[in-house]
Amino acid sequence: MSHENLIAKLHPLERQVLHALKEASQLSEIIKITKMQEIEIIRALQWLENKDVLKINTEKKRLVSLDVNGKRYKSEGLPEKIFLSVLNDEYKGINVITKKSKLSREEVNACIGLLKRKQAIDVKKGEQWLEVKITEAGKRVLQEKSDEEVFLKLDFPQEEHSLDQNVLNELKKRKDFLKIDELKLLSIELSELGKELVTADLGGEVINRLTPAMLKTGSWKDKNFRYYDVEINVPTKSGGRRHPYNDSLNIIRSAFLEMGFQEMEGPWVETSFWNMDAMWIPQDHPAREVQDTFYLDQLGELPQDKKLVENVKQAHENGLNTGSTGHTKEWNPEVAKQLLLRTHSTATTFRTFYDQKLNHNCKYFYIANNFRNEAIDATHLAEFGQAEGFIMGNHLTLADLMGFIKEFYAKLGITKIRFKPTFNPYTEPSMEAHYYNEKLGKWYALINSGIFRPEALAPFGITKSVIAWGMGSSRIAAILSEKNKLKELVGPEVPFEWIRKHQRIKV
Amino acid sequence: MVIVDTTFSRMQELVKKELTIEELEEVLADIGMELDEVNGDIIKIEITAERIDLISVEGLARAINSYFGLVKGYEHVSVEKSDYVHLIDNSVKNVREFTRSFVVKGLKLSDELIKTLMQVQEKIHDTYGRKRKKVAIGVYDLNLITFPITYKAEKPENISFVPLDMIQEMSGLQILEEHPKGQSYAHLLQGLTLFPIHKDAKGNILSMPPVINSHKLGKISAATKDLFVECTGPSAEALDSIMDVLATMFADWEGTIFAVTIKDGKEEIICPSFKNQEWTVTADVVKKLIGIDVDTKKVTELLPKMQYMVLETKGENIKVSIPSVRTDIWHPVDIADDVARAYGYNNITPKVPNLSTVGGMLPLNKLKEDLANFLIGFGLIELNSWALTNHIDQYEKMNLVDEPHIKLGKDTQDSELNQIRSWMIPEAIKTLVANRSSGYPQNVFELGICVLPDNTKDVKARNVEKLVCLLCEEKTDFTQIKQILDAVCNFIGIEYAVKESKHNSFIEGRMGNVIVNGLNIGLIGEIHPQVLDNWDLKMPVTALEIDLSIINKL
Repeated sequence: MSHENLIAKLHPLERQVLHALKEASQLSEIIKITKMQEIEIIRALQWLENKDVLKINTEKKRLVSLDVNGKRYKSEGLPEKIFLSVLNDEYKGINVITKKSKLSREEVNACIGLLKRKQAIDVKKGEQWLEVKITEAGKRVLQEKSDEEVFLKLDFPQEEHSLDQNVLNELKKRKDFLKIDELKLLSIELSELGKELVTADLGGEVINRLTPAMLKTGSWKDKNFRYYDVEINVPTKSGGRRHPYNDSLNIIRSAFLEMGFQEMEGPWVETSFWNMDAMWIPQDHPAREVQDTFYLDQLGELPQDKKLVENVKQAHENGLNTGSTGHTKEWNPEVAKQLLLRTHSTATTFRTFYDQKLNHNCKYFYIANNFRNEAIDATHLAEFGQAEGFIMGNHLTLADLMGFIKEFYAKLGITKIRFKPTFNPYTEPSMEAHYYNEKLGKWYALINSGIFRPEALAPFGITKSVIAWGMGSSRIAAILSEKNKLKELVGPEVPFEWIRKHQRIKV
Repeated sequence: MVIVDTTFSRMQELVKKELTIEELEEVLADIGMELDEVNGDIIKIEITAERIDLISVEGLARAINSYFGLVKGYEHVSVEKSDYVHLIDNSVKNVREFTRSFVVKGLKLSDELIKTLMQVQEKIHDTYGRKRKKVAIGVYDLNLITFPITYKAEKPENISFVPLDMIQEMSGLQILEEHPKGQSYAHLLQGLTLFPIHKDAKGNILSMPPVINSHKLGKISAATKDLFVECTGPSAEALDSIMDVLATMFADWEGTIFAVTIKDGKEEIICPSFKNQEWTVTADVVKKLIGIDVDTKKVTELLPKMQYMVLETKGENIKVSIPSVRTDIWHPVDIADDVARAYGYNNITPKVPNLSTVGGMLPLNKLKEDLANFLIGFGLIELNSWALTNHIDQYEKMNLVDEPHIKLGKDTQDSELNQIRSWMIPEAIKTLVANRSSGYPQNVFELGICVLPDNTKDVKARNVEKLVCLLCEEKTDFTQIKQILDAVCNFIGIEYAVKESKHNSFIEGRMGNVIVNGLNIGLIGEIHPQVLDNWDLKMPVTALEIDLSIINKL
């Protein structure tokens, strides 16, 4: 990096510190010169060190300074001297001594111990108190300047190793006399580059952040902008996010809308009539068993339209003028009143047939939740998304259904598809489409589809043909958002981190 | 879906040409079945439940032989005449109306084949047999019973025999109470004063259908050569089909089938009947339904691949005979689909439906989308919680006793599910709880459906579309959540007021109802610390929940 470029990128803090480094090499000196906060200086020094402008040397120091008592004794004198000064050759009770000396009980006790050791006092037990008098040695002690007094005269703080260790150890024992701080001392060593920079022209004031004030006054005009290090990494930031599952559903919805489909909707709680009977699922069909369906302990109502109910009954019992044999079993309206949680959105398709009085060319879709009575684990969910749809028209064929499916999945980026006949009680032909998962090297079922049986359409007076399908939208969402386990894709246990960092879905 | 367990070597034995696993997989897919699993010689084939004729490997091999053209149409099973008689007594009419039976002789059974027989029997019971309600099958050692057999109903206390896997005689009622099979199927005889039994000429009880066989007469071993096979149920057609399916299987096991004369009052029925169905189909039906260009000749060539016999062609009309084991033909569309299978689904040329229509979203969904995209602008993350939940999470943890809601019936497979949510906030809190270690702030929203009881509807309930917002961070407060409400209402273009109210889930004095056009459309406030404590959430939460279904109608 050229010097000019380096200089242009210098942060104002760095500039101030560099300026101070002309004469200073210690942190304390830099603080004095720049009047900056220590933290700012250290930050600037670290930036400069990263640019090889200088080297920060760290040295540990133990500094001794006076604590509360130490400071007091420095001005008032040491307690043992005060103690001695109130004594004379007569024994005096310590109550008297304490009062005269204004020392605390604790200090008095400490003084007695100390002065006894120096034989500066004589102590005897009085009637009520200990009694004390000064000795000849004591009088000398009072006259002479002690080592401790010499120590107190020093300017603090002092480095520990430079002090008289005997006195120091003695004073360390005294309460709140000394304070020892461990300090990291920074000293700065300029590199060759640093030495040049310190003397170089830093180009006067640079603009760090452009402010409205600068724009108002135009003060930016005669200044330079500091260069930023635009290549440096920045902290991660995440904003609000749509749920990737809903993103996937929206891709499915867009595909339908682009192909000219209208949206439909229907209730989650359904009667068996709309969920099963209307589409000719026999009343003893295994899919109606309690282990597959969430039943409610309540009955609903059959449609008000008596003719519709009668038509459905006929379709079940004898095929209602469609040329079908029917199920040749009596149809029980009570069974059809049973309430349940919709097991498929086809219930809504049939409601739409009826509510919209459909018997014309049209296309409808519905992306919604359905329910099955399952214990929830990683791959089994009691509620699952389904994308349902149908096209009503003249003589729509299996070939039309295949064409639609191919076109639709191409929009989702799924192109390797094969078809397989299957069975549904309400469509004939019935067809599955399987897609090839390149990653897993396996074929997976993608969609269940078919052409509605005449027995299912005739009760609604529909004379057109209807191709229809239901696909697992949760499954498609799993493919699109690259999740294998459905429980990691929907529901409360999906981690926010995954949502926050999820990449946009490309199709 | 039903799984047929068998081996590749058995399949190869039955299919009249050399076969690879890949070819087997392909031909099964063409017919509409699936090779589900291959493990050495053991294979599992998934069949669709309506094709009861494919429930044994023999039935599958028959279908494959026809599909390959190795057998033209359907290979008939020959049935020997006999004097065997099975009487239906009038007493069963309101009990379990019908029975059918036949005899098979000269079987070379093995433990393996007996296991297969049990499996086939169980699978028929569980699927087509509707858990024995529609069909229950019994198999007996022919040489231990004396004809004629009588199917009749007797008082349970008068019924006494040793049921399968027991050593003591038991009465009809005892069996229902004490025998494991009796307990499983007791509901099928519940409320009946007479129970059905099969009795032979010597007065020995063969079985008490649809529950259990006699231990003495109904126990089969590898040494058994000759069998008496019967079934009972309320539909004669269903029984005929099942007898045909089983007789076909035993014939393929190289047994000789002997007919039994069923005497039902004045009526005499020879079983197995193999009464094929006759239908008429045209190339036009196929063309219009499948979208392939086929003529009458082509259709008559394709039909035998799916085991149909073409009887005659008159002009456009093709008269076909369909094997009696096919119980899934209700309408010519069913035949047209079989033609499509014979043609090969993957040989059909897809075409995009030529139908021009105008698409459109529901206004409510447009509103929801707009709101979601608006709310992420506030840094909120979108959630997707479950609608199925339980009373504890919805109310008890929320400091509530109860609210109107939709209960699930008691047969839920997941013990934690007993209702649909009536409000969103508890489920959204559940998400926060699961994400406690995800870093804060956790400001979230969800657009979801709740269900409320509604007696004006045919389904006694209605979906309610909701918006819920939760702000969960150290410094969240009422002002912040009200700012969101304010922005949302402004965005939608509605005037709102917050009216101070009380709700046990919220801190008193920091909660209100959201009023729009005089209607209460939701609530807003600071969640009560007791609620957060109940959920074990150590971070304050403010919340907002409004009804979009009402707003959408304004």
